[in-house]
Amino acid sequence: MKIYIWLSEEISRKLEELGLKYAKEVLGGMKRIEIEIDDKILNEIVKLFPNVKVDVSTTNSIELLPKTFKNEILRIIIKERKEPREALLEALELFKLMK
Amino acid sequence: MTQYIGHGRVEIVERIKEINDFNELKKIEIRRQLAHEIVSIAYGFLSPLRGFMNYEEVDSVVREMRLPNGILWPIPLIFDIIDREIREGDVIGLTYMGKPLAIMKVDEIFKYDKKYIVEKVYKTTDIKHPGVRRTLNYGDNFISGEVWLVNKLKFNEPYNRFWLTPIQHREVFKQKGWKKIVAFQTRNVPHTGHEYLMKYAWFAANENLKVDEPRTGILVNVVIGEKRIGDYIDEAILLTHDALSKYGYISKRVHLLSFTLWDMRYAGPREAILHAIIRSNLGCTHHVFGRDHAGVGNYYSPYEAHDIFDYISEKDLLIKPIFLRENYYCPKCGGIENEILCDHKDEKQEFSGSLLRSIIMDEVKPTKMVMRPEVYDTLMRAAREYGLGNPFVTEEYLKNRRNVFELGD
Repeated sequence: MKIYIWLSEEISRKLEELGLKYAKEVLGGMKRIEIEIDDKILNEIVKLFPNVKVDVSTTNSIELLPKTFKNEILRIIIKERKEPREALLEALELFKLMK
Repeated sequence: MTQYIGHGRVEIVERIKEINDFNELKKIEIRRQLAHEIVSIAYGFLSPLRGFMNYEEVDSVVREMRLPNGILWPIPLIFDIIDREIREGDVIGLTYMGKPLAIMKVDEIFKYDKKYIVEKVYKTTDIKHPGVRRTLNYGDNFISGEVWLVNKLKFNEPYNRFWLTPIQHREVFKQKGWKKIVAFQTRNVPHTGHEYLMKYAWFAANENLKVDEPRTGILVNVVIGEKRIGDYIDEAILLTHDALSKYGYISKRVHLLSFTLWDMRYAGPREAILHAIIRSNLGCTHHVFGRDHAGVGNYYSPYEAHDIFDYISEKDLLIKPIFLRENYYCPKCGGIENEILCDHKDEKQEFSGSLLRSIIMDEVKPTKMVMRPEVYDTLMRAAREYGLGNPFVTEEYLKNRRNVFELGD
């Protein structure tokens, strides 16, 4: 199961400038960060955001994750230079505290 | 007066009547599907049908894909009822949203094996298939008979900008000087893959016509009908296709946008034939059929809607099919290609619906090689204006959406 975070051209450029090579080109110049997650994290995410859709049949990803959560992951990657999975865990802790 | 010949080489005749005694008729309030079908029959989208089918017609269409007079017809058009007080020979008033819509002369009341319909039409009895589910959910009694529209439709924004009857389509084609018109069926917001399908189709339809001025046009004919959660909202589909020509990605000189009121049955190959029939009634000479046309899930093979034309004689249709393969973005060629035209299929980047959806859900503006910036901006504007902030159909949208049209009292 994965989390996909699509990147605007501006964010893609920023990551490139910082030498952070996490972006994968998927379609016509569109890039995304793909974060592999295990069942434990999946359960935490579903608990925190009950409206997400876990799509096992077509995309094998978690859909409808709030934009604010994805933005926080990107912020941590860029500002704190953390790897995407670490950034996800940190963002998850932060959102749990805010709940 | 100009005669317009439609499917089956039958003249398109609008079935509209003014009547004064509607209130004296026995009345039935009908659901949206039937109302849309009546409008489509009355204006000639479904010509030569003049009403809902009787037993013999349903049986002939289901078994042979033809009306009893031999005219090709793939999907039965049936009117199911619960009301037990209707009798053969009655003229009944049909109301929609509580207002008069049409009258119908009931010729026959009959039953038909719904399971047999779905086996033949959908090639499956799986209730998960939306067309199967729809058919099996029909009531057990059907009525047949001719219908006449008795009220004026007032289309709401933005539909009013794109509504054309079959006769009006033909008049617009004439004004534009188009000799050939290729129909593009859609229920999607256009990405560049769609745009190139339309452009390839234009070349195919233009055949041997000179290119000093546009003699061939593309009719983008959106199907407006039942929506499912997660579909693009209808308003966004119309407005984004309009944006393609408004911002010059497909020249206005060769582009026209309109819609047909029809609930998709997702009958794959049989529905492809119906789409060809509807667009031939609009005056189109060609019709694009891409991958998985009118299909759903894995009930039909990707190009099954192409293969069915092997069994249809050219003289059965007034329209020629144009078969196109699915497009993809080829990073090596740097453009939109398909597996017939380019050999880099191992590097292809596919335009899948779920992928596009996830980009849009992340509110990330796609690159112009994926979706034109003005199309994306229009999509998001439509979401705010019509979709309660969401470009996709939600339960809230279904509850609150504006009607496609209103009826006079």
